[in-house]
Amino acid sequence: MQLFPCPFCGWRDEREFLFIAEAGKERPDTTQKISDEDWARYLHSIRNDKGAVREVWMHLTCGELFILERDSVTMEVIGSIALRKDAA
Amino acid sequence: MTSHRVPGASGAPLKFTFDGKSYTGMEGDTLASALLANGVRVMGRSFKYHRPRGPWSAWVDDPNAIMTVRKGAVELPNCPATTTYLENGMKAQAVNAYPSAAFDIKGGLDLFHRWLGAGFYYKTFIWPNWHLFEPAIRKMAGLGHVTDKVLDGYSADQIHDSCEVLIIGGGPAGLAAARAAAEAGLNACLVEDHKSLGGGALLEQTIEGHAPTEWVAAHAQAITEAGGRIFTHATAYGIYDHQLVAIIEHGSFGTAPRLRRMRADRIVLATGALDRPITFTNNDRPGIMSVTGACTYLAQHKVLVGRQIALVSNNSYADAAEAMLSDAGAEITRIDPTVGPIKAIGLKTPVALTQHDRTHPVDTILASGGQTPLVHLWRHAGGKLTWCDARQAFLPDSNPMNMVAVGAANGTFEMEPALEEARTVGKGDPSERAETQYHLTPLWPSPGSEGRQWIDFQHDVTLKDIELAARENYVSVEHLKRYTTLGMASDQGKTSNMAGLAAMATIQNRSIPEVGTTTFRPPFVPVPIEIYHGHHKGKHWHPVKRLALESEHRAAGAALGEYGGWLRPAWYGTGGMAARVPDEVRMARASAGIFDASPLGKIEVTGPDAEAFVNFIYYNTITTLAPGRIRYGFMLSEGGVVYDDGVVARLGPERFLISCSSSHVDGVRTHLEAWRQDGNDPDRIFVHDTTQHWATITVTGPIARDIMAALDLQTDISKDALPHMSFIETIWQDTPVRIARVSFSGDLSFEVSIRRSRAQDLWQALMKAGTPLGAGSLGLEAMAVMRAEKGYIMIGKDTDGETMPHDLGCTAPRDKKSTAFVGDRSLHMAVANDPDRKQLVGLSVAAGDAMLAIGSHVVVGAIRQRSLGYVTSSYVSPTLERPIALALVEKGASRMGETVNVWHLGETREAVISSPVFFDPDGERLHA
Amino acid sequence: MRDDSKRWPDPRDPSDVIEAPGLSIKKLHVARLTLLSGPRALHQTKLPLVEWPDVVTSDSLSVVLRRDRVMEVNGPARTDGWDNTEALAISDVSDAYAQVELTGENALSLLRRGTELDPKIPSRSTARLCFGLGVSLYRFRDDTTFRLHVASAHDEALWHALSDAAKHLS
Repeated sequence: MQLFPCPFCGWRDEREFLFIAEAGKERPDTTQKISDEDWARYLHSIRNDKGAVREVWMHLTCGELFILERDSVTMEVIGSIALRKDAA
Repeated sequence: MTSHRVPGASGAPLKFTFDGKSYTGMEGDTLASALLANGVRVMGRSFKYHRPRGPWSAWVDDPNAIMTVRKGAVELPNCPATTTYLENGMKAQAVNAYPSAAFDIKGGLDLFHRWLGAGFYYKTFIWPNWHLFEPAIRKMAGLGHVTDKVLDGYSADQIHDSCEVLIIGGGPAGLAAARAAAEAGLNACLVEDHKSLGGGALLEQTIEGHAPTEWVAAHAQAITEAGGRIFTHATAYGIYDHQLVAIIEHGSFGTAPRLRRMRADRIVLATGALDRPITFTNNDRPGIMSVTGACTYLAQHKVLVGRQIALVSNNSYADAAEAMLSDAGAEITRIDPTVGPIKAIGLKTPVALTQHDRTHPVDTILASGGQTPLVHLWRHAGGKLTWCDARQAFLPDSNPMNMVAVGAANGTFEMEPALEEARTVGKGDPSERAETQYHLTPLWPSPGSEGRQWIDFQHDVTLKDIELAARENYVSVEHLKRYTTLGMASDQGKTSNMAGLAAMATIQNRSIPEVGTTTFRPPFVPVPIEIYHGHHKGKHWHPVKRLALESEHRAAGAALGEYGGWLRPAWYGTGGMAARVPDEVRMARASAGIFDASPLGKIEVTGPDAEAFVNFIYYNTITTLAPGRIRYGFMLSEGGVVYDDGVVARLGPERFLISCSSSHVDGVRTHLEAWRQDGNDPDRIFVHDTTQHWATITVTGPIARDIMAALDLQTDISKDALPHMSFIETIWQDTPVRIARVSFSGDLSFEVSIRRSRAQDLWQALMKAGTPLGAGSLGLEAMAVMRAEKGYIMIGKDTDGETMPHDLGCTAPRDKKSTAFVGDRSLHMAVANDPDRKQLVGLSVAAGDAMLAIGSHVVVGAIRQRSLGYVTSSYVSPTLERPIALALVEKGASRMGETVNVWHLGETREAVISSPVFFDPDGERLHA
Repeated sequence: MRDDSKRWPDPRDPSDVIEAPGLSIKKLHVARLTLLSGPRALHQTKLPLVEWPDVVTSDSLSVVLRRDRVMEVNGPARTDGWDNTEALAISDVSDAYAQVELTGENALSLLRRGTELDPKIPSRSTARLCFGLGVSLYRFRDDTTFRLHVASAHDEALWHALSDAAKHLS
């Protein structure tokens, strides 16, 4: 099993995690006009990079959503980035 | 006897049989060594031609001696004789041979070898129809036979472990590395697949001035005293991502092994090297063995494999072997295979070896074409290999993981440099591979040779098969493997891969590294499937969730079924489903049913932004939901497809309770958490899944309020005080309860939620009140019928992967909701606007007719029929006394009253499209 | 629908224990469990905060679950809902979890059958998967005692996994 680093919990078994999406895709403002092509691109297009990737994952046991940087070929984990700061 | 035990052996005698004959071996033997000690050489038959086979080696690289082994009540197929330690009372049988390996009736197949070459399945048995021949061929193929007996208690332990340095291989290099690591204060673990340590040490006369056994014992003791751990009879069979090594710890015969999942900061590979075979005419005969194998049988088991031995070698290690074997009494003839092709003479055993015009009478041929480092685990880890011309072998090169190879595995074949290298690496220091004194004359298969020359002994792949593959353009090493099946046998090519790819290199005039190797994959040795799942099997593969009220349901005679991951009452009482379910429906419609609805989701969404958030998550408008009110709604995917339906109740200005489908609780919670943290302010929205804190009991039916009265609540639950789709919190017997007017049945319904620990009291109170009034417990199956009578859909049953809310008749938010929500834009794409979309409808057939089958297609067209949709739910309604069905049909909503054809398994019937609401369409009973 | 009532054994007696060499496991009762979520939640509980590998000696404690959530175990009574002054979302979940306590020199070894666990590797959240089930796991009283909270509906499944694993300890 791979080990992934949750920004809050630290290194954990990959089975505690869920892949959400490739990072960097922004949801268009659906209260404005959006073309069919733009919406289809939002829904369906993915980069599927070979090598370094940035992905959004959820650590299911604590619920934290975060960015995971890893290599899609070697499976090496580069690091994780919290989307949120620690509780004040 | 050709092979025999030499004096000096000691060990308790063990009795066993092979192919029905009795033999005696001793403690410490493997089945192979015990049989060799008794002069038995023919231990199996090859896969295709059924040629007699004897063990090539003494350990994991043997492809030939495969046996079914029985001991007591245990019978295991495909045990390699060379790695199965002998136990008293074992009964072994050669697989793929009948009645015995010595006399196999299918041995005659070899006469037809010209028609059975590589790929023959694709060519020889095509006409008139491959399927005519296939059953017979399948019967003849395969190794071993799995008994249908289940082994009680055969359950693999699976444990996580970790260390700083994992040393794989307990030979001299591994022992030296482990000692250095342990004495340097590192948390070290050593893994050795034999029962005892030592490996190649036992083939030496002395090591660093000591007798090998003393040297080994001293190192083992030093390792343990320094805090290191040693696992013997344990095989590291795979290396996985992030420094995880899978180790199988073997137990006694018939006991389940243990899986040790070892996470190691650093891995030292001391896995050694193998003798590779020499490819020559008739090189597959029993009695042709590896040089190292023969020396191992002598050193470890005191078995001399032959008396008149031809020692055939192209490399510098033959001298030591010759000395060792002749000291034990063998007559050795040295043959240099590089000066001319050789040929073995003899059928079930060699009688001679010829080269040029000379014939050498021998009873055994020991061959070594050079050393092949065992780099499988290196490759599992993604490590690269480099070709070494001097050694004519692939050696470990760079590795992305924290891993180093030492000793023979690294091409360091000499003892002194191997020990130095191992000690340096064990401590954690870097080491450069030293120059080697080992030398050999390159010797690879000669394509175009006459006679039959074997490459893969188990799968009967010959040099001619490789030439055939090349002629047919299967020249990539991966194609070569699959087309000829070389390297695909239970030994996974340990003795055949190098010869195979070298032959292809010669044929293609390419270098060996250019041809390359096939992908190495775990497991390195065969392992039982049990090791992969352990406890996670059968019903424990996906443990079912259990209700607080399960004991009540069992006491009431419930049949329990799995629904959405929970074990729930399907129906109650004796008489079977077909009788009980209609009875329960009639009871619930006439008086009332009491139903355990506990698995329903109860996800609280709280916070200053809760309202806006829930409004975004739902298709329906939530901002207008007042506290104390409930609204039915859909959650969509971003593609606009209905993901879940459910009701949301407003508990307060900043508090909502999402009651999603029982089967979707985990999914909905994850969905809410993902959106909460991505695109919203998570400091202002909180999601608490309280589903399992609350048990929920539904009282549904015309007299439901009378039953509720027995609870003596201090709160008014009359029709005006608590109308349909409203909600109150109150107290019952000093315990908070929540009461919701929500209906799954279409009748007056109260959903009463109470903390799980008080569920039993509430259930008993309601049953006590309801039973005298004709009410009773209601199961899932009856509830499903009542839902269908009302056209209340079940997500995933009456909706599919394309169903959008407007297909279900819910159109207002799509047209009018102005704030953003998940899936919003998708509801206006071309496909969403397609007028031919499938819509939910009812389908009716005449009373007394059989009900429609679920999955039946509504069809149109005379010659070529086209499906317009299909039946999703179908029951005989006890309430209406006729069959009813729900279906998704193209343009269904505009086809009310139309008669359509419904096709199922070749038969066509007629049905009428109707509203999906069959019962109480005005909802009078609902709003009682 | 198939009748699976015989496929699954009756729920166990709550007083059942699992005993094996160096190991004893029993069911534990708690008086109250409360989820507290909020931007400052980790600082808004008066009970000792428990992360991994903290050893807590009090029966009243707050397990850290997330950067913005704790669960008070045997904590004070609170009112469910949104506390605007404190910016806290509060939910009573007392019956949502079942508890077990494992003690003995083999307790850690047993847990390692279910999860990759190491007291030398800290983790701020006590929430993890164990035998495939979501639990909150922490050390209690001493080096060889552990407490777990598991969802009530998975109580039987966890018990079965623990007792199957315990068979390998003899």
